[in-house]
Amino acid sequence: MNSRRSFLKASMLGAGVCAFGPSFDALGAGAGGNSFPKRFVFMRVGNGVWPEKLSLPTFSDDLKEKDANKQALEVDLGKHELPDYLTCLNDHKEHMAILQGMSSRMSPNGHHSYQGVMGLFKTNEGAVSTLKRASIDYELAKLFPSPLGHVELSFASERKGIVDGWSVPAPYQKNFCYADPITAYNNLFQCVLDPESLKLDIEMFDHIRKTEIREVASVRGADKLAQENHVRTLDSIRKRNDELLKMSGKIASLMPDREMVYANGHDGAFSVDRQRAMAEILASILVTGLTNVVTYTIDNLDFHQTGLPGLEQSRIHNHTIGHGESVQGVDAGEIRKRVRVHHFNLMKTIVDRLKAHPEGSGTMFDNTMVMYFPEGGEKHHGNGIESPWVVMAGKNCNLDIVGRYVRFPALGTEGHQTLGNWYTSLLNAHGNPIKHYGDLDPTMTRMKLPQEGAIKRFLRA
Amino acid sequence: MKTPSAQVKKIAVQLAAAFILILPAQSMAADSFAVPEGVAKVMKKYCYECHGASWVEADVRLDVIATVSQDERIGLLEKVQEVLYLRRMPPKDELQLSQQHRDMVAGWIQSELAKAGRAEAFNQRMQSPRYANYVEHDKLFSGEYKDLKGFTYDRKWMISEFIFKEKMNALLRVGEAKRTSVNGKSEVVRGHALPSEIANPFLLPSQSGVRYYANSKMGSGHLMTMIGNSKYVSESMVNYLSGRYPDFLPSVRAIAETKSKHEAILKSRDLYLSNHIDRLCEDLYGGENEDWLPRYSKIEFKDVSGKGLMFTGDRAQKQFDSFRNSAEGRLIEMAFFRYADGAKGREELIRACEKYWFHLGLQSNQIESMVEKLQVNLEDFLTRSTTDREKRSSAWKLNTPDLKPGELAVVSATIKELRTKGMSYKALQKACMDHWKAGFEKALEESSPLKGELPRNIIVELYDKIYEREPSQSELAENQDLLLSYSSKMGVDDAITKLTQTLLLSSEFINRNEYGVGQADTYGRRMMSPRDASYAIAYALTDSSPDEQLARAAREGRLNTRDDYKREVERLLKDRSHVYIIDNVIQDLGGGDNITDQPVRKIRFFREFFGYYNALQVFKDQTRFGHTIGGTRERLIAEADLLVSHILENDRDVFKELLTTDKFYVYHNGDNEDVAALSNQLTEAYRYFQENHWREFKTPADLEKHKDFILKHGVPGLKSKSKRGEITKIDKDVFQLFINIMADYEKRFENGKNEHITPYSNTRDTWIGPKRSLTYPKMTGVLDHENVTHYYNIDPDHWDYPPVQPFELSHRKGVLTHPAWLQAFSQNAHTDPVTRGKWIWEKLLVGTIPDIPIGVEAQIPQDHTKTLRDRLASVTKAEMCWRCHQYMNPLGNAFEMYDDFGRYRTEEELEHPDNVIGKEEVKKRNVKTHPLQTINNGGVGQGERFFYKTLPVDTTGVLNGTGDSKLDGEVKDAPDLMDRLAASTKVRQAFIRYAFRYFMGRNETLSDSKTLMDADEAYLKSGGSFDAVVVSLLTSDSFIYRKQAEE
Repeated sequence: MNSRRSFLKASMLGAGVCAFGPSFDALGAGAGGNSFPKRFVFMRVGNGVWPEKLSLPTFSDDLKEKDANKQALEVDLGKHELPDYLTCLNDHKEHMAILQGMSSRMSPNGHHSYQGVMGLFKTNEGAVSTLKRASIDYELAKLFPSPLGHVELSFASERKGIVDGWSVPAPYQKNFCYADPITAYNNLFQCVLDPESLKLDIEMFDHIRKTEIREVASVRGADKLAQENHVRTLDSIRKRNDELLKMSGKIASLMPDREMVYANGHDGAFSVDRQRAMAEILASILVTGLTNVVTYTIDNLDFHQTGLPGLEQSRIHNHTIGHGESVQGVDAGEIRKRVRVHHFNLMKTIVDRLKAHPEGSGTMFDNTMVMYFPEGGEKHHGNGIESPWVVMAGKNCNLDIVGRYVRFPALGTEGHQTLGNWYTSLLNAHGNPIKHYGDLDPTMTRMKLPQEGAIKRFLRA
Repeated sequence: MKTPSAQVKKIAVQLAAAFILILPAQSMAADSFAVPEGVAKVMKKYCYECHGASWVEADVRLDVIATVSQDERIGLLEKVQEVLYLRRMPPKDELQLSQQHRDMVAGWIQSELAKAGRAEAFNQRMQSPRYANYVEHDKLFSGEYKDLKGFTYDRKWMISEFIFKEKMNALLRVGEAKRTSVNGKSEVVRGHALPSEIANPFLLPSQSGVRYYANSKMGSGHLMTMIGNSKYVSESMVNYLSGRYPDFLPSVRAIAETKSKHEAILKSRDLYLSNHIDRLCEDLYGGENEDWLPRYSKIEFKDVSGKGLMFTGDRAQKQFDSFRNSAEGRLIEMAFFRYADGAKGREELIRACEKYWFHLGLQSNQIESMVEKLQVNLEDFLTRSTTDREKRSSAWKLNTPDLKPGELAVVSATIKELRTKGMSYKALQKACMDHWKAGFEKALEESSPLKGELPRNIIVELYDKIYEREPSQSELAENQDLLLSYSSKMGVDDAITKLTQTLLLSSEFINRNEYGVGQADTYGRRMMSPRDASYAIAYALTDSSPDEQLARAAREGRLNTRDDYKREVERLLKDRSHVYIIDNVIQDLGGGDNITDQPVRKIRFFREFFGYYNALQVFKDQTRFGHTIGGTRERLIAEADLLVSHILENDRDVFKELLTTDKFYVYHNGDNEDVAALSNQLTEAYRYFQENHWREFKTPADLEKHKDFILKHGVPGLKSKSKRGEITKIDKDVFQLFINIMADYEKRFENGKNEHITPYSNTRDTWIGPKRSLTYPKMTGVLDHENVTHYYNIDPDHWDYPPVQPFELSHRKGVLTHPAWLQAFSQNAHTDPVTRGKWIWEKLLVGTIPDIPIGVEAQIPQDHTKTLRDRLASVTKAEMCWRCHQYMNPLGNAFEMYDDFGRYRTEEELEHPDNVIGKEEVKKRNVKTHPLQTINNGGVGQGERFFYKTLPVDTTGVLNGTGDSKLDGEVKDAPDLMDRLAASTKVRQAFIRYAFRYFMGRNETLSDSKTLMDADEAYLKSGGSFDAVVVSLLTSDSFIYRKQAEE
């Protein structure tokens, strides 16, 4: 059987749209229009994110105690220093939100959450039959269509090529993702690198259209309407392919340098360099307008870190760090810190790139949210009691969150918020009126505590 | 209707007035719309009181219909049209329109909607399953309309998720291998899950009832998803399957074979160059070779002392192996093996490696990383790699055999031709590979030109595979042109792949046609074409295309009469030669088979009608359950499938049996012989070791004495580390497992069992000794799966297991009392009398319930002093709510004798923190009974289980709707309700109506009256055979005859 690498290789079109489920009926809806689309970047990491490491060092004793005791609090980030992990983002502090205390127990947590953390359901090790609903990133991608729709990049489990992803396009459907920078580069920028294959697609769809139009004449009633609709879809595809070809000049000027991608993206390169190369690609597909939603799994538990500052020559298994083993005399906590600092530098790379591109009277970052979160909760063997998020959001963000450190009360108490509430907020704020996204939390259910709906304080009036 | 209080009415009037005042200008614009005087009079008399100036019920105001905007007016007209048609308005307790008035208003609305181009919208809406029950039941079965001639309109019916799966599996030849299954039979299993590379865009809605309807049409999402699918499938077909199977696209095979040969040559050259390019170049260029390479200058590296990889402790070799199997480790080891012997000393070795990597053309940071690793970890390479050097050298192909005769000359010549000064080895290798690849592509085109018969043959074969028919002359011509056009821009094989993709993206591939042909009869009906009929019959009963017999019948003119249809339908219904996976979700997660050898769509009708498979969609908290849930709900659904299959296989009084059987499958695989044999095996093993005083065994040697018994007889659950369960001696692990198993056996037997205990195992494949047949995996799943018994209030540790099933259970009656159904119609943490009652009202009593009115927040209030039934009553008693809830609550309440897990109960726990009366850690399942026994409680529920105050459950209800005064009335509980429903004529006919929809893919109309009555009669005459119903439906006029759809 063919390898998955061959999947999609023939054309740009397939690369972007293959994963869209039947709900994607807004083909081309993103083209034109006066307002700028919103963009979303989801940065998933393995090994758990320790909540206390995102706590603010300048908290008063009272706030420290509240924070440690998982009591509700909200403070102005502007009046505090950022923790070590985040100092690289000091210049962007006014765009930052640290969200603490949300729970993710409807996801599998533990070593791996597979698709669960973004779909908020329990998965059986990612089995297709357990993928209950489209993941949050796909739901947002439906709201802000783009030529490529949704893009997933991943470094999970040392894979490369085009492999199974952790997003879910539609119930019971797996996603595919790019697992190394070189494959991602060659596929995502194929309209520049291989425009001939796109032209062949155009020829193919023109032929299909010709035969389908003939069919319109031979059917009646509802079948005729369906057939006419089918032809319209083909027209939309043609239009989009033309658009992609037209965009190729702009894309070529904004896509990353090939030498950089090849030098840093190959198998033998340090993991930190490969992750940087992928971040550059990520930023480029946003600034070129190829997509508005990207999910980037920076690492997972089976990932080996190489090239960490001071530990350049060490190949450190994430699982080892999770179990507290030291490497070359450097303890696991310190290694974990270096990993996280590197991750937030990747976040900074993306923010900087978007801030450098004008959009309207501001920059592309104004309409972007970049979100960093753990796939498995608060620790290596996380159980989802807490899922800390760091969010960078531009000034046009539909949610009222930036510049704040927010801690929600603990799970099982009044006012607690789950990832279901957070995702519902994201969707409600961007045009999806869903009452509640994701499965409900069993503890909140048992305690008869309210848990459905958006986090109202985040929604703008 | 009650008049609203004066105050409320006053406020409403004010609001309405305000609404009128703030209407935008365009809404007020007079667009010369006028309501005819007669219609206006009727509306004023019957509608305005609640939908006029003085009162605006449900935000609908009709007296302003002439003045609102066009869009608003269309919306209002469509609403009125619907409620008139469905007879929802005026309300039953209000003054009713005469039929003449009703027709007049409906006719006017239809004409206005036609003017606006919306005439069809209503008809289309009425075709959806949710409106099917609005055709009056009594009329359908009264006989008054039996002379109307049944037919179905010509149609394209989009394939279902299941047909798509089978089409794809057939194209990709997935699951063709035979396997041994039920009773050791060797058979092909169909219905495998799709390869993960394929997304299924044709997923059906998840609601209960009939899910697959012909009115679902393809949308852009289907096409978009098919684009990705078609790429994968076309590449697999052309590049892989045509090469592997001689009969698969034979015309493409020659091309594939040539290409495959080329690829093999390219691969061997690539491998050779990867390992030997430096040596070959030295041979070819001698002392000048260095001059052709990039100029090497030594890289100055920083001090790396103290840095490097840590390979220490017990796992050192494992860690080292892991590293040297990485891409970087491989490159280091390759260089190391190259220079370790010749180098004088450490420095020289490292420099030689560095220079080699440089000349290979690696990036400087990569070289730096490798040099530093080699510096720090040289000892590891020297000590660890040299010990298995020969093996590793071979693994890294350092000793690659020479190229085939003549190949070395080709490779050498190409190097000579393409090499330029300053070129790295990698760059040279790439240049060579590109050169050869281009040459082979050209050779392929020249050796297999798309000329003569080849393009035609390719297209004929592709049509046969994809559309299962021959292409027409015009299709041949245009596809030949397309293929040639493609091949002018890409390689021959890629062009064929592209053409394959093109064909897969046609609407023909995703639709099934059902068109009449030939001369129309006096009623304008034509019989389906034999080909279309063969697919209609095949897809009615299976997910696959027509089998050979059916296809031949169509080809040979033996599918032209009603008797022809009957012959084929009856044959397929009797066919037990195919095994189908019923549900991949259950098959994947249930720890065993979920299969049937009956036509799968027959079983699927009932599982969808009842909707019990939706149990998996309701998230349950295992802490509330008190036991681990993992895998048990899949098993529950599989066992509900077993029950349905069992009843269908007996095929007597099917509907009654489904509603009233008191025999169920619990922790069983449906094969009584198999399970009984296993249970006996287990019991005998226990008895044997009891007699041999197993409790006194202290060491493996004690068990070793009984090895012959173990090997000959087997001890269920005792397994070895070997993949196949072989064992040479009883080691400590096997002994430990034996102790644990015997302790568990004993505990169960001691708990009052006489004959049998619940069979269990870990992994059957690794069992020691005899194993049961391959149906046995259904019993695997270890302790977690046993928890399925708790849904029936059975403690598996205290259960005298009945190996022969289904067996009688108290407090249960039919599928609606099966825990799978009860869970499917429950909420996360409580029962759901409303959806249960709604299901009975709609499915068994063919009643209708309108949607929840906009603005109504359907919530059961919290009150921790009352039962759920009382809380529900408190909120639904309001007249507006009761109008609908009167049909649901009294039916659903009878099921309050079960909790939301489906467990029988007499008391309801008032689950609220204020009502907690106790809590405990979930009790440990395994108790230590032998000093050597180890305890694994991994299968026990997590955390604390809370106990709450309780109140007695009230299980009484009311049945109203059978139309039979002997049956309607108060019921004492769910079993009583089920007995009455099963005795009802209307309920029996309801099954027939739903079966009609399922097999026809549409709603029934009055012209289908005869079809329905015939099917009902066939059921009665046959003693309750569902097969008889299916034959009747699939040979009816409604199925056979087609009419042209109206434009």
